[in-house]
Amino acid sequence: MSNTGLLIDDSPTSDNSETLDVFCAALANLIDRKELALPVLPEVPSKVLTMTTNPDMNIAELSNLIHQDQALASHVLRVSNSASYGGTRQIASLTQAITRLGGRLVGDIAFGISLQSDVFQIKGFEKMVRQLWRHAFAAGLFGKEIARLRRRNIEGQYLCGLLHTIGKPVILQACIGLQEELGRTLDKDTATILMNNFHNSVGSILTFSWGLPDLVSKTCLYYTNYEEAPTFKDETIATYLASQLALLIGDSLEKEQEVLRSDPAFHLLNLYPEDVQLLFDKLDSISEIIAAMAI
Amino acid sequence: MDNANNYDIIVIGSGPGGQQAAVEGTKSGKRVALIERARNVGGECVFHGTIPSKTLREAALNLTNLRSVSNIFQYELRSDVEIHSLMGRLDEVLALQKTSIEEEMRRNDVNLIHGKASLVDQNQVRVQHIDGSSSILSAKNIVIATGSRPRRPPEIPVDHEHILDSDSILSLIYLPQSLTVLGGGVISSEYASIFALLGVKVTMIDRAPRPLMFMDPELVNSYLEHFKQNGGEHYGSAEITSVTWDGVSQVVTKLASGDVISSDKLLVALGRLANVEGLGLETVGIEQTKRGHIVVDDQYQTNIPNIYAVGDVVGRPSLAASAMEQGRRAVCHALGMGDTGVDFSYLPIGIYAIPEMASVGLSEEEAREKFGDIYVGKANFADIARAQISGATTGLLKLVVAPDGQQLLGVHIVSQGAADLIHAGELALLNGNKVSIFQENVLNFPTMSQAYRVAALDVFHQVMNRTAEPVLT
Repeated sequence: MSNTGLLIDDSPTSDNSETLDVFCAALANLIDRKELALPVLPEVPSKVLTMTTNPDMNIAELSNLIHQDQALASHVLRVSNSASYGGTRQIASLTQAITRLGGRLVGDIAFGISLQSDVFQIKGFEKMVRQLWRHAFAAGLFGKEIARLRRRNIEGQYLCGLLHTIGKPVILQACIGLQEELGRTLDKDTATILMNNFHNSVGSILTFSWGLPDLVSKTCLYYTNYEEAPTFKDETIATYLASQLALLIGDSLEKEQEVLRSDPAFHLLNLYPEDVQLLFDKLDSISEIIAAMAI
Repeated sequence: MDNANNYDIIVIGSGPGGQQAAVEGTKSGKRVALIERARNVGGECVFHGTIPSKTLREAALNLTNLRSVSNIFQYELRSDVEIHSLMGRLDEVLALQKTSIEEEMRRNDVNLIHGKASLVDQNQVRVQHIDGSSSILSAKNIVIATGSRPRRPPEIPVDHEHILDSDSILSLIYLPQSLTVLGGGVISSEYASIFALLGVKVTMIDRAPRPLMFMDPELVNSYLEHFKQNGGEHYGSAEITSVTWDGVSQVVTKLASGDVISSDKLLVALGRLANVEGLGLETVGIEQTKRGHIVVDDQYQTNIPNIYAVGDVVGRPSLAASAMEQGRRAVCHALGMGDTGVDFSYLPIGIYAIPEMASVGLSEEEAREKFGDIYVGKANFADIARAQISGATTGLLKLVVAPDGQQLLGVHIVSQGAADLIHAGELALLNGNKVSIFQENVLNFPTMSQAYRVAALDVFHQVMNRTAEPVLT
């Protein structure tokens, strides 16, 4: 299998190849001329990121910050009450949730959810964006599991998984903006092809502009072509695998699982069949967390 | 069995001991298979421990150099510096290491096999390949060199996020503001000094009164002084009662003394475990110690005569250099080449802390116990011209000399480049040279090696003074 990152969401074909060409040229032009509108890292996730890496952070401050966004607060509570986190006793306050899950995990959840709700509200493509985020969250969680299995630090691998497709909604938003200028309507198939074609470089540019670690922008750029990664090769392969495993969340077929099991990328990370099985064993619990997030 | 799978020697594990064993075998005209479970020849610990940690150490030393010229450049480390950016040459170094080891194995006709090995009987080894398939190899002799991994005490919840081991600490993204280091061995001492020099607030906690108990106390004091100058704190003779992540931002370490230490991250370096799981030692009845190390004799032969074990898997001294010699010695013995005659009593120890430490031969204490009224000659690097030029004036060199004022018994150094400097002392010991060799021969000037001459002269003056003293009756 090639490492295209498209195990399940195989590129759809578009009848409207002329429209695709026009959008492709326009997008490439925007990227080349550095005129692609990049969203700024919004206030809440930016603060969450700063706060959860700050040793002086306290529970009350983080709780107050998340309280500023009701949707975010309700998501965090829902996750902390999910069975995956052993919540036999229902909790209703964010302070309790932070105590149960840990500030860092709450921070991770809040960062992802607030990015989704603040940055990418794309009319007409809500379902598609929602799917992208479900996949990104799952990839973040699988990234953690791969790092844990390899006895590597898990913080960075989570961010790589969460943000590896961050370029996709940015491209979608840009294409929506281009519709009027180009006099053409964007259909979902064309949008998917455009996202797949351009998201690596756009994701890399965006994460760099947000001042995220070099690791994140490099894995965004190379995860679909990990052989070419000049640095962070193992992390890039792990991000690719996390992305592939995340595609199995939901109603994947046994056949798809078997195809992934034989992916050579597992060998490159020196993961033996029994190690791979440990990752597949996480499918249910990660599915549960994603469902609890209900994004 | 297919002839292709028949070997004279099978070596399990491709760390320094395994590599040396394999090369010694092929150089003696034997057919050798080298089985490695990790992706790269050289072993996981080299690629994820030794080389990255030394690369980070170089970054810390470069910072020291920059700081030493801070009157010329305004220099300060950015607070958000990424650890990877400090190890800029890491990928290049790893690639070079991988290529050179593979090339050496290829040049010596060692048959490299990637997979997990387990003993079927005393002559057969099953290899589970990464794709799940397996094969059986056979050999007259087998050398086990599977190394070790960090020990995880059950009471300390290593999560590789907040509470780390020596494998996961180097994949941190950012330098933490504070780090607690549990343990007082080589790994903990090296990391504690590196992170302290990088500006991290480091607290070292250990059950022993001082770190590196097997090293000369004067050397260790110099290390601790340097560590404390860089903001480090050391809790010796400390009993840890609990280590917990507070769920928010800090790892909290509680001591029996009532002290509570909070830090962003915690490194657990409380020893290492032999990698023996899955090897099938019990299948062939290979003896192990209570700590799980394989029991061997002085030729590294286990209780099963054709099976040898070398390196970390047999326990102390757990040093790459000694593992190499053990690998060579094991194969020589297996091939009937007899005792290699190498004297392990002069095994040099090099510790890549900052400052570097090295030792060979008897310590001052051991020598005094064995010989009585010995001489100890010292040279402070503050008095050595080359050290003054390089700004490396921290440290000292000690020569331990027998009561006759001639016979050299041991050499101990704490200074920049100590692990290299020690070799002159090691050769003098191996050749049975008198201490006067360092004062009666020419050493380049200015060099750090001049410290040998200064320390030898110190011994000479002490001998003269002692001889001149009136004998009280």
